[in-house]
Amino acid sequence: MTFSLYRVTWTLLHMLISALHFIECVWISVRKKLDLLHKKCTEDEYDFISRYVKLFDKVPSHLVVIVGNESISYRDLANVAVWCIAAGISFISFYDHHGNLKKNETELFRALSEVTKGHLDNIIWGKKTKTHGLIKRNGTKNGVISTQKLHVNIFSLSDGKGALVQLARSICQSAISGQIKSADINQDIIDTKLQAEMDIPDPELALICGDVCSTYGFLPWQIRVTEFLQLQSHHNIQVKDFLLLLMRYGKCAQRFGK
Amino acid sequence: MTFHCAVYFPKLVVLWIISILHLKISLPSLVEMSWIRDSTLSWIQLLCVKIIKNGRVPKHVAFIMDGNRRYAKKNNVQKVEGHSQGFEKLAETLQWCLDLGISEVTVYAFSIENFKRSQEEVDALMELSRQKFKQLLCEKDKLMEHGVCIRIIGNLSLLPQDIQKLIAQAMILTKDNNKTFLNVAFAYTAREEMAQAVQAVVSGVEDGALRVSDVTQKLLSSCMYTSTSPDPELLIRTSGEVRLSDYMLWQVSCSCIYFADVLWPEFSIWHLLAAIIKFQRSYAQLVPVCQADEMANGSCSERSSVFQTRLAASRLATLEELSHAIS
Repeated sequence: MTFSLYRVTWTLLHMLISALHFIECVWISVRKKLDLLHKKCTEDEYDFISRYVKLFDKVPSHLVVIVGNESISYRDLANVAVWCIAAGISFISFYDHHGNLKKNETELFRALSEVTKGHLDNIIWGKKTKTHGLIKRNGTKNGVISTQKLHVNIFSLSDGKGALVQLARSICQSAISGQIKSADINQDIIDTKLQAEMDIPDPELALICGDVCSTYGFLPWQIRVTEFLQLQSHHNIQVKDFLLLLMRYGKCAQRFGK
Repeated sequence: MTFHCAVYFPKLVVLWIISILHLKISLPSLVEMSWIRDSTLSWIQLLCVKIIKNGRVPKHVAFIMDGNRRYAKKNNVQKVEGHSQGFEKLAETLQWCLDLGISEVTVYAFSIENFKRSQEEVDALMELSRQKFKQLLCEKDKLMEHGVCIRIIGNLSLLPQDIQKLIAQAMILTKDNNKTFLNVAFAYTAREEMAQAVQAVVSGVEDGALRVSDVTQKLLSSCMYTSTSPDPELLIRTSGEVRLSDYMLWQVSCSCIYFADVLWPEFSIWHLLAAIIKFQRSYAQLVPVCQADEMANGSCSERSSVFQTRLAASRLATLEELSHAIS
């Protein structure tokens, strides 16, 4: 009897939370619609962002978007990438543990060319992407060096623990051929080798999309000091949301164990 | 009724852990505290615990207890006082975990990075842990009675030799207990853990115990310091910081992470319950991630299981040796 009473209360509690959550979502989407109406009279996004980020104490050099369980909106991801260029962020990585993003890399490419209206000169596709091999790194056009480059990477579950397993295997090979001894292996060697493999700095900021806060298996080695912030959804993300997240990051102080 | 039995569990252990970093607490008062103190929950909190327990409760929770020193600063008291409040909080929290039916808890007590703190602070912390480990060993009967298994995860070789010895003795003493598990990350960072796992695997290949093809995710997992524990289902970090700070990076790939915007000494049962509610709402969505992670584990050859057994045995032998070392 008492047991079932607790159970009922538990169910009610979760229903209540779900209801509140639903109301919150509706409220957010209504506000977004209102903002969109406003947006027409705002100035150019690019200038707006680059002016605004100057007010922050720090801007990440590597931003990660962890898509989580959400369906992928390529257009919104492309928008975020373009805003990163404006904010002076040099690396953006997209992570989806299902591997769908990796499979549909061309979609992201298409969305990016649409959003940038074909000006993809500023974008460097990471070592691991398929586009990397297709596009030559000729960042300079007519001798003019473009101001800001953005390195785009796409990762899936296997790039996390899997990369460390691969690395362990290759070190084992080297050990067999006598190039390295197990006693010499340390954190720094592994870090250097993984850096060389991935060609990215450790991310400073990760945006987790959706309600569930988890790393979803994103690169365990690289997230030592990454700040994790939650984004309700990457669908219809607005410049304002993006700047608010960067602002929150800009205020974080790191102590490095001290 | 059952509640009372459960609460009884680890007061001693808890207090010992608490006191690891606890700077100025007199021994007699500690002992008093450990045995007189009862559950700190009010009836309304107890009621809420009973309600929340109707849903899924994580079996293993990891904590990053952050904010002791900021708490001290905020309240204009000495750092020492901040730590002491923090440790009291850990005792309470472990009790709450037991009330909720959480049987395994891992806490981040001391990071390798913490060695960078001032020499006096590090020395004081070491001196204190020395005392508390000794105290713990004196009260072994209670540990055995309550089935508490204590494991210290981290690179023990970075610690003073006599502390290594005490840790080894405590771990060996409780190794067969299986009711509740308390893991203390001490001289630990996740990167160091992953690096030593790779090192163990490579030395296995060097010795001819393993082949390159045996190296899988599962094998690496079994070489981590946490090889005997299931991955934590929930990670709680206090103080509003939103980083993992080199803690359990390998193990939390499909855990629910809860960042509580409260300094550790101010952490309350309500924060813990909120974290568990969040876990209950997230859990189902994380199951596919866990499954995908498990799929990537790879096969486990007979050679690698032999290797794993050997590794576990050699680690135990190292502990045995440490525990008998003359210091």
